[in-house]
Amino acid sequence: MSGATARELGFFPRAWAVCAKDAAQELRRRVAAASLFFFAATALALVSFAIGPFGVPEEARAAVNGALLWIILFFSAATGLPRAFVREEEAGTGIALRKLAPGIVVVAGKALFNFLLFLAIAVLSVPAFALLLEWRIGSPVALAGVVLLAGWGLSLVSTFLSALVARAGQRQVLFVVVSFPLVIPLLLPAIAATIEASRGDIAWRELRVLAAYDGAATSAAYLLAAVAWED
Amino acid sequence: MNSLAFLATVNVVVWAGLFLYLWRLDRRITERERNR
Amino acid sequence: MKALKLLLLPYMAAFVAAAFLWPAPAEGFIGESSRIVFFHVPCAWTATLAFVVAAAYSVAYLARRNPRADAVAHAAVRLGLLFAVLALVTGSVFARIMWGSFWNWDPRQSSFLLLLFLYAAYLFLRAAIDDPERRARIGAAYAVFAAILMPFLVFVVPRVTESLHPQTIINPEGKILMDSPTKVVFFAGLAGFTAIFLWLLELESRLERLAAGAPAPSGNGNLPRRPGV
Repeated sequence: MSGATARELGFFPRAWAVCAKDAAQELRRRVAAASLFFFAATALALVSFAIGPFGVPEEARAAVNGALLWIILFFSAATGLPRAFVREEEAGTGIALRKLAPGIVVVAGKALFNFLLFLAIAVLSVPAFALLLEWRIGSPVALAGVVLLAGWGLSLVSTFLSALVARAGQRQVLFVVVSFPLVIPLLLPAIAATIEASRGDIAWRELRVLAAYDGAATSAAYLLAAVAWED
Repeated sequence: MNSLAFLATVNVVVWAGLFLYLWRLDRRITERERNR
Repeated sequence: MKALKLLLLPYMAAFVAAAFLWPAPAEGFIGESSRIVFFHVPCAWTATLAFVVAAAYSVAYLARRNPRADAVAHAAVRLGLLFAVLALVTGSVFARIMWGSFWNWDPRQSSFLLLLFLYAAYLFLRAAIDDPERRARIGAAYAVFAAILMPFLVFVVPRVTESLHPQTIINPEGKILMDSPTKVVFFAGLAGFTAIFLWLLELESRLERLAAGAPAPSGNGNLPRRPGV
């Protein structure tokens, strides 16, 4: 695909192309998915073993489980998602990609891919989590909503930040340190909304906050994508 | 001397020290800038 | 400018003395602990001011790629870290006196802790990048990104329900509940701390420019400089 024709296509087809490319790469080697999966599985096992035999009192269960769930999801994302840009560095495809697509397209495409990856892990971990900890979730639909909203924010912020740290040292630790302060205002409402969903209610206020956060994060990433993707 | 006056004195001394340090620093930086 | 800096000594000396000797301790506080407001609040204020400065100069850097803007942003974050630590420490001491424990997960306390983490993350990020131009660019991108998400940090984490924080300044009525001597000393302190912050900022930025091997600020204006030129 030559540079000229690439630019003639719209934003979404190109972003989708980036996403598809990452997906194809991922399906071949499965590095990101594997690390996500194994981390989530290990964390889940750890939590089950640690809490299972001792049990959490009924009243505290929703709060503890809600918090633990999002801790696991956050660290899973921190383990598996930052590879988004490192992939390019390792495969040597960075230069070519920079010629073909502007920062926004690349960041959007990778964010999309990371979001799908995150959802895949969430779909697996949340039921497993509920099962292992005997957690009865009052409204699974509400929970799904929280996972979708918070998941998008988390994936987007993770993608943007992984672009920033792609060529820095100590990437793993750096990523966690760098994402933590930005992600807390997302995780707290997510946990609160999860607790409400566990009780069968929909936490409308928290969902609004999540939506607002998503909007702000998306705008911020849109404005700064070109800067992050610069050579 | 009551404790408030004591605290006030301590703080004034600390602040004076801080100020002198900043002032010296300022002088030294101006020196170095001039020498470039 | 020099005259102003010289004036800072007698000004701050007077302020500090006044803080302990002039206004009476406020009601509702244990002993003399209300005096901490003269030191604690200006620290918190400068820490926030530092954030705004860092964000603004980061935007300026991204727009023009002038290394001087980046030096100021970097210095602002370092100073912000210092003042945030001071704010947290003074606040914790006050909390210990008033409510018996240093840390209470009070919303404002927590959001300042988060600000601290943000500053530290910025510095860590910069430290992990070798190339100076990329370091400045990535740092600036992070600062601006964080600034856009900032409202959530400030308004979400402090859920606007119960806070232990005394409501003498930021309160629902929007009034300042202080008597005259207290007000005078308080605002004097605010101005003084801001002056200290600005002076420190100037010194730090000049030092950083010196270390980067650039000529003195005067006469260069705002011409962008590319490394190696």
